[in-house]
Amino acid sequence: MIFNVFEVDERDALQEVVNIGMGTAAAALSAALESLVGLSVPKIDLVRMDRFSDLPRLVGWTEVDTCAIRQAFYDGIDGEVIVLFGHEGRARLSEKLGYGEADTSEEELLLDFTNVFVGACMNGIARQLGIQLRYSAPSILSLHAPLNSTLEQLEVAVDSLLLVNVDFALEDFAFRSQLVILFPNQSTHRLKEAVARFVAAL
Amino acid sequence: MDVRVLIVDDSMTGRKMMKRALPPSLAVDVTEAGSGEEALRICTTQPVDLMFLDLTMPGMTGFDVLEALQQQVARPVVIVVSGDVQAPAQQRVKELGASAFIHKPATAPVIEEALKRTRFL
Repeated sequence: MIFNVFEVDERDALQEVVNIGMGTAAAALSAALESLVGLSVPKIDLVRMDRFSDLPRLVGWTEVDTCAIRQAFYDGIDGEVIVLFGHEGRARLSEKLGYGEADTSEEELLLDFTNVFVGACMNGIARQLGIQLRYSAPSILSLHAPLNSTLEQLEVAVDSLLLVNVDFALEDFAFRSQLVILFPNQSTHRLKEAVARFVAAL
Repeated sequence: MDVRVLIVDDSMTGRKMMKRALPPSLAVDVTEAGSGEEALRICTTQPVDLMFLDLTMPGMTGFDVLEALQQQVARPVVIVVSGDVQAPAQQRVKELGASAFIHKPATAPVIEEALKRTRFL
């Protein structure tokens, strides 16, 4: 399943670039949550995806009650980021941020969280690779629903996935969230070119 | 005499970026370690003056390495070089004995400044 488009040194470079991007995102979350955010070493993999509904299987996501948020990026490279939250993580995150008051919905919390997280992470990656990115507003793909049933209704022209699996832990609780970056075929090649330039400059 | 430098990072790219950013004015003898465990083995078998240490690594993290170094009599000066740029993380590495904290990707002027503060330049 793994694409062989990246050479060994390019894969290592991409891993390092993503690590640094995730570090930037963790700092943004740490400031928002006023807590030290522990991150696992992100695991990245580039795989082929024939159908959008294959996503949960490919990323190993089994939670039934899932919230999925999507945010598109475009300009230097086009693609989409999907962030997955399980029920437990969502509830604890809401609690930590003090949401739940009458004037603030869970949807707003998750959208805000995704916007900060994705922006910081993708900007961190783009800056190192010397590319510019712009973003659409994040939107909810599914809420309180099995992910498969939602994805089966979508037709998205994506054939490669950059999987970035990260576990988060705050000082007083751990929760699982997963970040998936999707690239259309053309963008995979642009990504490879950007990574190859980065490696050549080392 | 050359400064004996140990660069600790699980990423080959991270180690290359670090080596490239070292100032040419500093005469160095560089050794590399791809994990925290390897770094500690090197520290017990050969003298190390200066360690550039990544924090987020599989197995022993940079925090673990700093803790383990506290048990050693002859400790290198440690400059943490990390993508984890959270303020609490920076505070913690200082408490664990790190002399400086540099954000990844490390650039030559920032490293030079850290080397001046740690009196290697």
